[in-house]
Amino acid sequence: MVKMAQPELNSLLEECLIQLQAGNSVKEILAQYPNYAQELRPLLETAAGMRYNQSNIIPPTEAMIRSRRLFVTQLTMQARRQSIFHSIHLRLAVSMTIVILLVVGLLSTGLGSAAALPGDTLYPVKIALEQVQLNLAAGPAQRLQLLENFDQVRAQEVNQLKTTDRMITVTFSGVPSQSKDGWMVSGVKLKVSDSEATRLANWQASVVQVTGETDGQTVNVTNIQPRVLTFSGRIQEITADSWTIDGVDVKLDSSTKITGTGAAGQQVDISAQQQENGQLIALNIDVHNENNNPISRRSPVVDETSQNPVSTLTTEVEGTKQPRPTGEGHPQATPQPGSENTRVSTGTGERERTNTVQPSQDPNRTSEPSSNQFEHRQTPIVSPSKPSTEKNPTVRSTNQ
Amino acid sequence: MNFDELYEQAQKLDSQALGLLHDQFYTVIYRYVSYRLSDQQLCEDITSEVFVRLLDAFHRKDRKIKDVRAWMIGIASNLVNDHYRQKYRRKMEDLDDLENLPSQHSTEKTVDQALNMSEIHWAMARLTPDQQHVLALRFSQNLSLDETAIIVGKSVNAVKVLQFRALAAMRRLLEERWNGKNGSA
Repeated sequence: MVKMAQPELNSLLEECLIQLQAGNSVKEILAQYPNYAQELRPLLETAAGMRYNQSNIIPPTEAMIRSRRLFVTQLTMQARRQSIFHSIHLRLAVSMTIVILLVVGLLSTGLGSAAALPGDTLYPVKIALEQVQLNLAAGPAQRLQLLENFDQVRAQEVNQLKTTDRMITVTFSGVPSQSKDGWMVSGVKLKVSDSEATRLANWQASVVQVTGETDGQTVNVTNIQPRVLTFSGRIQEITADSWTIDGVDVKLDSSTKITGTGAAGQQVDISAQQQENGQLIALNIDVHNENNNPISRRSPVVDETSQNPVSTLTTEVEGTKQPRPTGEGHPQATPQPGSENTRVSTGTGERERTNTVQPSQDPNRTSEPSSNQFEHRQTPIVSPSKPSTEKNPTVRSTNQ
Repeated sequence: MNFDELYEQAQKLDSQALGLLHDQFYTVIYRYVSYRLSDQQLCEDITSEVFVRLLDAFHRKDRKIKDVRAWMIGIASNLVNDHYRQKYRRKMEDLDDLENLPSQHSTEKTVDQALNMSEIHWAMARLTPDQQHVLALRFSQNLSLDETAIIVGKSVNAVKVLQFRALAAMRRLLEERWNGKNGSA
């Protein structure tokens, strides 16, 4: 026997297997390789034995029929499953399409409303979207910023309306200024009566809210008032002349009326007048008690005869439950300083006020806060003050 | 309809084409599985399962199937291997049964005389899955070395080595069995 390397032996076996597959017998094949017959014989005999069985393996006909039936059944089932799958997908697709169309519709309406002017169909949508923005704002500071932005938008709208010659009632805010052409607010020329002109002269440093009808190049003013904002928040810092409430600095002056004793961390309700430089001058600060309720809400009393809510907050602070009589010393809806015996907290202590009405240190400060004309801007935190005629005892800024 | 047209129609889930494809390959797959497993019912089940898997692949629009016969044999091989794995977990109960199969052979067996299928199964069950795969392909399908190498996914030389070792191992196992049987007889 001749020894052969394994790789050659592997190849030689393969040659023999090819011949076996071609139909040659093992004997015939080995005769060609006598030197390797001893090694190849057992392998080829085994291979031949296995190959012989090949033709004997015939699948049972019934098994084949069963398999075919199963195959076709599976085909039908999968087709049905796919159909269900597709119908679910179709339903999902339809639902998604509707949702997308709604979203697109809302978005396009919202976007379309951005250019809407007062009197347009989409204008209420624009105002509603602004209100949503205000509601979603993170705090008073952000809301104030938004209000400033919206003030600019209102002024732009009024200026745009000049070119359309439409007689539309408009409301906008800004700081009044006087020029040779007359009074203007946010660049909009106003047509005002003498009495209104006099009032405007006192409000030149304050933000006022104007309501009127567009009349060509001017707005015929029907109402004009300083804008008062009310909001709530926690005291962050107290200094002698200002409080910081949720990131908003509010200045105090002699007219500021504080109910309760403020301290950092306490919740307060504020009404403040907005100034030309963006500064807020506090008219009223109502410090919440330990139950987180404003002190002024403990025992509200409404003077039915005067039609103005008269809060007992001053007497409450003084410890008396008797409502303060209305009269000359209490001008209606007037955030004038100096109600009788009002104890004013400065944050570091308390000081007595005189029982006479003091003139405001700021001659531009007004006793007539604007009525509720910025409906869409009113939020629970930052909003113009309520009308003074409201009997809601929580409204405190209008009756001092 | 030639095979390519038939296959194209089958891919489109044409029931008639699928039926024809099934019939054409049923024997091929059954024969392959039968070389590796002794249980006829199991051979039938695995063969049927291969066609169900083919149907799934058509539904998925699986474009990886280049050669449908090779693909189906590959699936059959995996199913057989799975079966063996499960069997090993059951402590090779069925393999033990094969130990008791009566031998119809003797050491005096003449060349070219067929091995009994039960002996083939007994010996095959003791080879590695790759060795089983190569032998089943070479002798159940009459595949060439090149075709076998493609289906197995190995080089031609690797398959040559595998088949040499598989046949040698099988012969050794059978001789041990025959000698043991003869000795005990």
